[in-house]
Amino acid sequence: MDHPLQLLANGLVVGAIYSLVAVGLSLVFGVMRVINIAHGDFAMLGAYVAFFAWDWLGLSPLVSLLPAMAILFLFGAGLQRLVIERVVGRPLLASLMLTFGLSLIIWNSSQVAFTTKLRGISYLTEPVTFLGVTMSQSYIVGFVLALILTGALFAFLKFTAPGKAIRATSQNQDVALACGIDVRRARTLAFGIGAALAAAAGTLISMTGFIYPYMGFEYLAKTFTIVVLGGLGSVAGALVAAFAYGLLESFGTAMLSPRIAPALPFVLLIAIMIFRPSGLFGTSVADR
Amino acid sequence: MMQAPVFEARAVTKSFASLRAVDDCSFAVEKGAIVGLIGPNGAGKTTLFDIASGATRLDSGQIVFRGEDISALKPHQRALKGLGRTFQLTRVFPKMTLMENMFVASPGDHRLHERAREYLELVNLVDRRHEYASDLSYGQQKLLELARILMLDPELILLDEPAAGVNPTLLKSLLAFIHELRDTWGKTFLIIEHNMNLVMGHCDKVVVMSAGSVIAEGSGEEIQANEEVLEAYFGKSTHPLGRAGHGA
Amino acid sequence: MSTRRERADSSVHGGGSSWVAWLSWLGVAIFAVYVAFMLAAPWLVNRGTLSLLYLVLYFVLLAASWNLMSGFTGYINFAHVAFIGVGMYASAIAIADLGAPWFLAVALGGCVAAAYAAVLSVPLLRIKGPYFTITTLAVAEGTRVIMSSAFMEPLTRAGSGIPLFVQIGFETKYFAMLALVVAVVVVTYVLANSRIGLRLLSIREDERAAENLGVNTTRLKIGAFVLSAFFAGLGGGLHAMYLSYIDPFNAFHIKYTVIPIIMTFFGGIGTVLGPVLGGTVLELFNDYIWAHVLRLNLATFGVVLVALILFMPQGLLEWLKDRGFLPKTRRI
Ligand SMILES: Nc1ncnc2c1ncn2[C@@H]1O[C@H](COP(=O)(O)OP(=O)(O)OP(=O)(O)O)[C@@H](O)[C@H]1O
Ligand SMILES: [Mg+2]
Repeated sequence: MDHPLQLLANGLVVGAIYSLVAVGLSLVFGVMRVINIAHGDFAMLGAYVAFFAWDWLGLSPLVSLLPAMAILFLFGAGLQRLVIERVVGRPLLASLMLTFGLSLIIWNSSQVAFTTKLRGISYLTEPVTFLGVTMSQSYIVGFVLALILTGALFAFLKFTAPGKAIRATSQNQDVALACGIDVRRARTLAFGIGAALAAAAGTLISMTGFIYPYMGFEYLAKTFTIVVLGGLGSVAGALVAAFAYGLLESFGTAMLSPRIAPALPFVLLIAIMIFRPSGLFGTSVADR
Repeated sequence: MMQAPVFEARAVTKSFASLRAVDDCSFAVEKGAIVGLIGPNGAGKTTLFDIASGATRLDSGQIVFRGEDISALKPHQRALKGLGRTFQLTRVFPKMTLMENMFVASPGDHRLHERAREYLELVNLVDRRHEYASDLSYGQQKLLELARILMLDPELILLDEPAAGVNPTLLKSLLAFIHELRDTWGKTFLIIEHNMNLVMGHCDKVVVMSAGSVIAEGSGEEIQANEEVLEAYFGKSTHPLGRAGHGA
Repeated sequence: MSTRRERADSSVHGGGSSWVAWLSWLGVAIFAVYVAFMLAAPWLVNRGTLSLLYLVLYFVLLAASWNLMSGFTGYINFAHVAFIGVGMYASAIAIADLGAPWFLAVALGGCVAAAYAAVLSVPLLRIKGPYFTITTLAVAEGTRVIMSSAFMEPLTRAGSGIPLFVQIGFETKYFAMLALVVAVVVVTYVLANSRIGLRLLSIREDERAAENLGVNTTRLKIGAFVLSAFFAGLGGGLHAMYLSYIDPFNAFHIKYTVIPIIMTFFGGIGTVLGPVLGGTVLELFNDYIWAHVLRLNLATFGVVLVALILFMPQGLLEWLKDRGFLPKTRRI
């Protein structure tokens, strides 16, 4: 088994990346009560944008991060406006099935377009050693960037007018409407932001690990676990839960057989659903 | 009529986060009585119904039905024991016909169709028995709920604002119906209602809740004369029962 | 339900007039013709087409068994493939390791899947609405991971899979699959016209109201879940012999949950013939797209699903009933 400090560091890094995906999923749920099954696929698409920018144009992922986010923002916002907006207010299962259909389309098309080959970007691979912890530079850069982006999201939600509109819509849509907030715009914005953050996570994954079309589904499973752990709809809860989950995964993988470790998110998710359906941190807004 | 209570709330308490929705609430409903449960918005009346019917778990206290503590029973067990309720916002089965709605509620097969039709007739809905419940108006859905609960043959019926959204003519027959159920079949009613004329005119006893607790209990006249009730409703100004002027 | 007349009265929507009661037998008639065609098919079509019809029947079975639970109660179950796959494994192990005759192996597949569902149902069915759906998704993936893990290796041979040599002809498998389809449709029909079926539907409509009307929703949900898993396990157990090779990746592939769900949505969730219609049409369609857009078949199903949710969320049968092309009865 690795040194505990090493496991701790690894857990924090993956936790930071998970938080980017989870925070967006929770934000979207809070604002429009839609559980977006295609959310993991946004991360996958972001990862491929970064990969092709590197492969074809020679752009570093740090440079392509912003364009990847912008592209996925537009993609997400467009998808929301054209399709998902139509099921807002319908039973949750309608949106669940709808986004599931979208996920099938995105995932299967990506398989055909990108092939199922594992890919990755070798960038900033030199290891750095500090306090007995060895880590490649790309991990450290990824960690810092993830923290900056999450921080930016919190600042955006707290201090800007559109951010406040999103929070108000999340808390009570009727009141938000009565206060003259354009809730439709808030929803589109929130969905776009969620997709952009997922794309950022994908970009960071492309330089710290492998990418492949099916990854969206695997990240989705982990993200569900995280979001449920943090309380559906709670952005801060998702952040805390993402780090908790990253650490658990890091230590769990080291201690369990590698063939059992992949079952971890599922077992955990089932356990949470049974014992604390409203999440461990904070209370869920979705008690229906 | 002094009878043994069929229903008792004993020191029932329930909090949502920091809010004490029901706070040490105790009262009894005698067999064969029509009891009104009134109180300002947010007093905890519906929450008390939820606790009585088992939809919500209480934090402490007891719900006693026919001398038995039923606090630990599941909702369907309470229903089968004879405790029926309706909801403030109607909960009919929208994509089922009226008859199908009725059938769900009956524990046995005895005279199923006759009874279903009979009760639908009582609420004037028998001609629409093959339509989906979603095709009914809101007031008609309330009536369907009342008819449906009768399929259970409950001893005690909890009605949450039965008059809201029901037109005056229909309301009159509804009230006559409630009296008939009580007088001929010995059913007991606990009714949440904001319509004071209805409460004063039809209830044998009135229980007043405010901020989760019972603040007064007695006949209509006693309640109308009670200072505390007045305060709970309007601060110190006018008495609500003196000015109620709408409805039946 | 006392007399036949009364039953028609209870299940026919829209006025109980005699022609409507009569039309409600339409569903039975349609299904009888369908079964008659499938029975005659081995003498009517060539082997390639018969293979396709076998797959049609297999997917109809998966869809109809899924509908037994999710269509009636509204609890959308994403773990169906877990029961199919467990049934496949039970049957494959019974044949390969124990030398069981094929029909016993199939029966065992159904029973093991039902037992697995019974065990899972205790914690699962306390979870409501979309949370239930997400959790069942986790159950399916978790089952796949565990079945391919080193723990289960002695039994399942983990990732390397189980080869199967079964000495029964293709036509036996075909007729057995047809028999399973008839069984599940008959069960659905009986349920749809029974008080128990109405109580299951009341869970879908409003579970809390149902509880307060004396319906033991937990027991009913468990019953429906186990019954649904039983048929899925039978189907998986039989299909194992068609595949002649079982491995976790294919046995637990999420598409075997997704495709039956989409088929049921297409035909009409919670109806008797919806899964038959959806399964038949979409499997034939799937065969067509395999020939044309091959690798995009899941994406094509995705498009169908999105279009359904947006434009025809009740499915084809309810759409036809709403427009008066079919009588509004639970018999179809
Ligand atoms: N599930 C819940 N979670 C949190 N708070 C709740 C919940 N249900 C009720 N409350 C709160 O408990 C208090 C009592 O509500 P309740 O519905 O019992 O009032 P009520 O007396 O029926 O009012 P009304 O006359 O308006 O129907 C209210 O402040 C309400 O907001
Ligand atoms: Mg109320």
